[in-house]
Amino acid sequence: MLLDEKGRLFGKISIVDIGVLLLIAVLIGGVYYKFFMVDKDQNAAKFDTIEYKVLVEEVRQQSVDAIEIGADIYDVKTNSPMGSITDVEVLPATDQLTKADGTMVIAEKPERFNVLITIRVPGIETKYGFRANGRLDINRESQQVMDTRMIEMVAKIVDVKNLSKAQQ
Amino acid sequence: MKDMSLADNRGKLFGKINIIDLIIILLIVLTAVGGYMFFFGRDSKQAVNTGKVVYDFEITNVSKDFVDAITPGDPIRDSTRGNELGTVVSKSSRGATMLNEDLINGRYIIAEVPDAYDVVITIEANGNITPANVIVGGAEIKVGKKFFIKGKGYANQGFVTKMTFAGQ
Repeated sequence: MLLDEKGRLFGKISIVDIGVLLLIAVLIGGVYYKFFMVDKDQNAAKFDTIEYKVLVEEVRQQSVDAIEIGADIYDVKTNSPMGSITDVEVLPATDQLTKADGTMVIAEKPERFNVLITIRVPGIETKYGFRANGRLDINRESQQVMDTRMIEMVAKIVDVKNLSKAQQ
Repeated sequence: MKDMSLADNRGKLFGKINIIDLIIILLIVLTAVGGYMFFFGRDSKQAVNTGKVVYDFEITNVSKDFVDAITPGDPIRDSTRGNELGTVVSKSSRGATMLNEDLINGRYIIAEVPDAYDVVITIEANGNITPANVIVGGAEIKVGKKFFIKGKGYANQGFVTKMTFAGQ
């Protein structure tokens, strides 16, 4: 019998005590992990510099003007920091169009722009991919809603690389 | 045999502290720490300044009557949550336009919509300005954000298209 009639494991340690100690240990461990293990500022020295590019499609001039080099950028869903904008390239917005005669053309959309934004963030590279601040995945072709103080935008990740590794 | 239980038969740890009290104290401490970290511990995002924010809010494809109903001095509210989003400073309107496909010539064109208008309302508000957000009436104001607003005798949805801070 693992438990005796008093609920003690091997007749020595109360199973309730073990449960309570485990609960306390898990709570403390969870709090420590949440606030100290994955914190950007605490662990910045351990991180590489990850550079990624996102494409914001078919926006108007007002949106282009609100995207500022140097601005901090965040993932809206988790409110997690995703780095700082280091470069902004404005391109004409284009799309495929099937003409009345059945031929296809790439046509430019007037007063609409695609914006290619370069972002740098402390992060890690593993065999599974790249993670901003060790937390959020950075995957090509994934879409996410991001914001700076000035603008909220739907962005598609188009490129990602480990700058620290490239510089070695 | 010596009793190895952490808690005695009255549920007291080492015969001194009630284990239930200990759990409750731990939960209170963890909740307090969690609350503090949530509201004050997220780096510089929470450094708050209060200031005047002026932003443009665009509503598209509305009637002339709708445009005429908007008057400087009107208080503007979020029609979903009811919180105040500021006061109308000015308005400007132009003929409504749409991006259409010209399939004969294989191009996109900006087409004017008859008897419809795009109106830009300039709104002034007091906001909480942090390095990451501008908050007015509990709502984050950013270029590209959609709101449902209501003023005196009118309501509609639209987007923030520009934002500046007083003195800039």
